[in-house]
Amino acid sequence: MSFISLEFIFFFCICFFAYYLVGRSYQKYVLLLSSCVFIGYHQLSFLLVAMGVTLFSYIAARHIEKARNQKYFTTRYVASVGMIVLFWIMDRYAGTLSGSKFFLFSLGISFYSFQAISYLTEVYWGEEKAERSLPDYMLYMLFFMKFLSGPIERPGSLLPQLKNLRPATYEMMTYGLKLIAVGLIKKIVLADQIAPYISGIFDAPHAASGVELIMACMLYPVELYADFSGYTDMALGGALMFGLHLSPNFNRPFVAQSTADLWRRWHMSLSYWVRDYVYLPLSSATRHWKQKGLIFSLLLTFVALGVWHGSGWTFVIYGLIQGLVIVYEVKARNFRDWLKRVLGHNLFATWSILCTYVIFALSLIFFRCDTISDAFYFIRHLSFTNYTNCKDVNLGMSDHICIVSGVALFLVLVYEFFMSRGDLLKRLERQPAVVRWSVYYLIVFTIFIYGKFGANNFIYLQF
Amino acid sequence: METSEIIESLNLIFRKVLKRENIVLAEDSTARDVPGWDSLTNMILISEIEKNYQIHFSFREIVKFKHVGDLCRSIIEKQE
Amino acid sequence: MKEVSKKETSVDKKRCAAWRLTIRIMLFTGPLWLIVALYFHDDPYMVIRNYRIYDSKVMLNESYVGWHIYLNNRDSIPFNSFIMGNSCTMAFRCTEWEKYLKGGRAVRLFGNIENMMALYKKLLALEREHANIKNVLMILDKSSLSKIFLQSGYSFVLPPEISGDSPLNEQLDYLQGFMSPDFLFPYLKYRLTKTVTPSMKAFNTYGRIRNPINNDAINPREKMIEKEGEQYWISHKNDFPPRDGKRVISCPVISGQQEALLLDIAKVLRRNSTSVKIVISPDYKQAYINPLDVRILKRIFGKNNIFDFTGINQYTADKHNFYEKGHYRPLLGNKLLKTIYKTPYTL
Repeated sequence: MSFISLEFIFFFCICFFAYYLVGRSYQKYVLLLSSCVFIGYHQLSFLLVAMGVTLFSYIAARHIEKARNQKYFTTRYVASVGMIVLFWIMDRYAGTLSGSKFFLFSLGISFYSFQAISYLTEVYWGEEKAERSLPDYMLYMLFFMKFLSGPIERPGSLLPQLKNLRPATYEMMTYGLKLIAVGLIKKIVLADQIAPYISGIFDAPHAASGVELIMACMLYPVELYADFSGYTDMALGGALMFGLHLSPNFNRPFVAQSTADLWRRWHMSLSYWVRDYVYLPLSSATRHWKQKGLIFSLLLTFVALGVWHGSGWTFVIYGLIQGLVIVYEVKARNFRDWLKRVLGHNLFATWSILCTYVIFALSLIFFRCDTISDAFYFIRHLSFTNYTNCKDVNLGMSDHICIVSGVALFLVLVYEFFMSRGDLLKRLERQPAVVRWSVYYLIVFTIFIYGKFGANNFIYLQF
Repeated sequence: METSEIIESLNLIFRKVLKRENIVLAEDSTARDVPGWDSLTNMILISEIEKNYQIHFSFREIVKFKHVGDLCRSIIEKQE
Repeated sequence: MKEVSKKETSVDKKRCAAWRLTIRIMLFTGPLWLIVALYFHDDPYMVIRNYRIYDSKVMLNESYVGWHIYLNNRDSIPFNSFIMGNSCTMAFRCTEWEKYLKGGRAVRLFGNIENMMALYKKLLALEREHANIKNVLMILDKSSLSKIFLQSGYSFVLPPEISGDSPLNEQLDYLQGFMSPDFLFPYLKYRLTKTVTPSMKAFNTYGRIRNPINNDAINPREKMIEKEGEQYWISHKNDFPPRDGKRVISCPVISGQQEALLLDIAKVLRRNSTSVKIVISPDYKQAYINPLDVRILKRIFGKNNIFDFTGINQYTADKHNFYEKGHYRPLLGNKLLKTIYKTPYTL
């Protein structure tokens, strides 16, 4: 069930009313039952797989904790994590290996598998106690607002909230609704307006001119960001209406001045996951190799990050590019410092932001293209001088769509700028009712009039 | 060893690894306060500190350091 | 007792917050629900209920109307010939085309700013309806050849039977159009005053504008020309930008994706043994379509089935053939049909 479908709206309303009508001790079960309905709605197998991973990790954590200070402590941990990883790989590659089109990649498996691994690792490290309550743990794993595409929640962040469910205050509910509205604008006013035109180029790069390839490449990060951060805003807003705080996933990634900084701002729940569970242990184990250890850890981490996104060499290369660029940034630190002194802070910042964006956009060619040969073709044919006609610049988008999406992008960037200076949504709450309701009506009408309805899926659903 | 002595020697190590002469650490200094100190340089710093003091930190000890003060206390414990 | 009352207070508080939110949302969305109710009650675009005749003060979705005119009449009239393309199809009368068709019966299935993808979808829908697609007259220009994405918006969205999209999404497009201030405020004014003024965009001030049997255009400008004569082109001179007579060849518009779509269209036509004539509309601005595009069309559809009327020629020279720079008259359409049917066809 997509967040922007009518079925989800009905489902959410029923869940919301049920949650606040039942007694406090039953609220958890309302959310759990709703989550099961949500996951199994289209395919029961999705629910069965998710339940399987949940039960396995629940039992495994208790076994690991029992075995602390015993002979097989580490073995149990490694075996449990290994089983989950193996299962995830099998699930991801099953369709490719069997050649069967009917083998569906389990919904959300990349997200909840990593969540399970995070939980097992925290128990292994002694940072968390193995959860005794199965309903609490199941809700931690299956909660429907974060099931589809994250955020990947740490046990220390979400479990305590679920164990001690506190109802949302009125202010939290309205804040949640505002976040949902922001998410809708990002998704259906911006991302879905430009998506068909960009997809048209990526799906058939051989038919596109050089200018079209450049424009599609440069616009794709915008589409991806608007789509995914829109989803995240809706997930966070929806969870807030039940009194639950989920982790943010984005922090103005397009102001990043380096690729390393970009990954501290982009899909943060995943990048911090790979940092804490892959990079840090690796770099700690190889720290005596000095720079070589750092390089090895970075490359392996980002290849793993790339592989998480998909089964194909394109994703490996996508991850490798991120790693290589960060290695370069580490090695070229002195040069960058010198450049900053020469150009001055503002010019250096502008230059760095543009470079980071362009490099990220180019790496996303591998992320988006179906095959490596398509990706290399794409890159080889990027050209300012090869175009069919001057309309290639807007990829066939009408003036109306260009204006709507351009204005939406500008407003999103302005909104995020002001949010970084202080919570704009809370400031709006303090305005008189006339101002607030005018803004709300403006937002609702904007969504209704300029939104592109009909595209029901989010990009990160495929992971 | 006193904390102030350790901080003095850490200053030298940080300046050498991060290649910035103007680094001055305090007990409550964190990565946010020191330019160039982040997850990318952290392990190199730790490795240099271990080499300097002939000690070894476990991975869990490293990730639990919240600030320079924690690092100093751990060094003192290991030296004793 | 205190513990119990604390819990109860907390329970009451949370229910209060949820209840308060629900009331506020209902108040907030009240006006929106009224507008939605008005939309469903009035059915201004005539897309919720079925109608015998599609006459309205509101400008309707031509793809929807054309399709339903076809469905309404196909049981009584054995339609086997289809005029398809964009609004330039107004120049081609079904009754005129039928003279060349040896007993065929024609209907016009066009759409505003229609592109190749919509045309393809319509052919597939006709096939699904087991229509006898004996003849197709396609009226195209470089704009319709270049665009391959289905358009959204209430004026352009295809009926779900054609597009394959869900009826709900289609209705959302219409609802969006209805709620747009550009439409909603004039509509409310019309609702109250029962009159339509020329300043109301998206409204039809001319009365009947289509034939209810074959969807032929009843163009009000033709009546204006009848009434005003030569004065029409003087009073509408702003609709006819000056031309310098220079030979201009447009950039090619058919690349890989478009060609793939044209091949798919040709497949459908072959499957149905359809006789196709493709007219590349005469352009008032007298720009030639690129010869590369024409070559591709001839290769796909047969060289005797492509009729390029662009550029500087007898058809575009005379402004009396045009209503304005974008549309030409049946007077010219008839001449084009005569030219087309001098040539025998093969596919």
